Amino acid sequence: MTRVSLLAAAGVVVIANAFTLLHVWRNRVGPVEAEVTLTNRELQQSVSAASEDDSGVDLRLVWLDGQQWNSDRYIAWLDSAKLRELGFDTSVPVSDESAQEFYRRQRSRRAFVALEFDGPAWERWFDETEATRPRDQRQSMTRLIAIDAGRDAERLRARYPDRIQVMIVPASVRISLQPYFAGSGPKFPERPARLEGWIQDMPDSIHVPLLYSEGFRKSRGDLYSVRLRYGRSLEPWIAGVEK
Amino acid sequence: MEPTQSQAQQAADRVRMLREELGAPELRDVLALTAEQRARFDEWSSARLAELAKQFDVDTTVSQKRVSWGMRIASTLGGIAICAAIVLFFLRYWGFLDTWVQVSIVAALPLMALAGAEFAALRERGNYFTGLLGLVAFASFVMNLMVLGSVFNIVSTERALLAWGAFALLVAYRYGLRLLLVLGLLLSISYGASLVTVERGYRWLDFGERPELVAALALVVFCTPSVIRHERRADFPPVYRLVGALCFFVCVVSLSEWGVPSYLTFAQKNVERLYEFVGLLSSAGAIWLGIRRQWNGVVNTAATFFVIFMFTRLYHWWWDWMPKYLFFAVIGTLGIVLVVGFQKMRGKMAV
Repeated sequence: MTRVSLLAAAGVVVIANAFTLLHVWRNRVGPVEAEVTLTNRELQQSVSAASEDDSGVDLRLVWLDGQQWNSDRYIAWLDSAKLRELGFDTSVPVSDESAQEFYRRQRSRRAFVALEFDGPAWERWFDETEATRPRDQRQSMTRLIAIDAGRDAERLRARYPDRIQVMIVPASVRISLQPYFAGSGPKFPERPARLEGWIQDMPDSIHVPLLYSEGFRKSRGDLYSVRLRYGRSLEPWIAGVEK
Repeated sequence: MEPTQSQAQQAADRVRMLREELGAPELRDVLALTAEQRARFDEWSSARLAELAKQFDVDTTVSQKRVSWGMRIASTLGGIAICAAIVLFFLRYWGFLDTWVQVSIVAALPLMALAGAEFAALRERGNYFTGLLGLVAFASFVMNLMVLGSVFNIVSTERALLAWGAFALLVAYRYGLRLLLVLGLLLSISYGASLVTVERGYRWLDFGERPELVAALALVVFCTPSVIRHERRADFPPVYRLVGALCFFVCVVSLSEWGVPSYLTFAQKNVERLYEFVGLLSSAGAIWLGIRRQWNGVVNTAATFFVIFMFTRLYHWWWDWMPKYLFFAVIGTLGIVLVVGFQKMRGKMAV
């Protein structure tokens, strides 16, 4: 039996690891894409983190998509023009009888989302939705809010050059035609059909390396701030933790 | 060319059956062997079986075959349990390790398991320990890339499927491991579908949302053994056909029940009816092809799906307007009609 296939199998393992580490290195060298200092409001310790069966510590990025919390829930900036820009086919009028099926058949598209931290978008959103909340959450709620999306990360960054307040992250966006609940009761008043988009998926798990994990393992529930850095591949890593 | 293990097993089965038949009283009346001929045959068959057993570790008796099946099952289950043990052990302690130690461990594990599989393959004639270690090597490689992704917060990509699929296929072909071949083929289909999905601007994880794409790739897998000959791995073509047929029919069943994900732009109901028809036709065609080419796995798979397609259609037609007892009575009658039909078909195939 020749050793070609054995060497090829070992080669796959070695190449895959080398490729991954090279990718990580490329992400972390060179100019930092964004560096944002988030707090325990935006980066929450996973409930299952550091359990007996899993000693790893992960933080979860908690963000708002900017939906209103009233009967007319939608992301205002993710309108049909933006959805078209993201590559969705919006050629069928919403009033067309085949529209529901047409839009339901469209898959989620890859996009980049701009997340603003503690900026005017969050202030505005908080004020507009304050009445719908049972208690004051100004001091406890996450201040990370999605403000825009695009197909090209560089163009999106050009629109939001502030690298300390705005992060550009990969995500997937879905389209839907939304007359579902309209007219079904006092909470859902009649309204015309409308194309809406929603952020379906965004990488939100941040691994805490050993250097910082001990503090999280010992004292859960403490206040902390985390310096999160994004590299050229828009992948984050923790550059510092303060308790 | 030297026979493979499965070809050697087939040869041993033929010799064993010939020995048993020659010992049967009814054959003795037709084919009378002299004592000398009988002794020479016994001597030859014993020597042949002993030679095959020594060279290929084949089963020479029915009891041995049963035990071998038990060993195969134990090897697979043991492999799965060891994989689970490795993953859980790593998860329990990885948080206390520095990043470079984590990376070194997960990168070394698949290589160590691969070396173990090679070591076992050189020392055993069967594939029990080799199969177990091959499975462990594959699971370790899956864990390897997943841990790297998690530690470095890498955005998941479809490329991991390519690496896992290539590794599984290489190990499967090297040691003749059919379970890894199944995994390798499934990963290859998934990678192909996700690559097209990503190229068109969609999220790679949504590759299953267009079952036609998966079905087309499944057909490619089904046809592969017709193009690529497997002289050294004679037991691999049925695995290709089984994986291809199963993936294809599962996709068609899903489209016949829920037409929304289809590429076709017809109304949903029309898509579903079309795929019901495609399912019935393709499963009937696969039964015919399987019988013609003597592909038992294809016949069984296609027959199962033919029944599923037919019963699903009947359910859509009759469930609502027919009393339930009558519906099941009709289904039972149709089952009997099918059995009679298959019986007649079987009768025609007799010598």
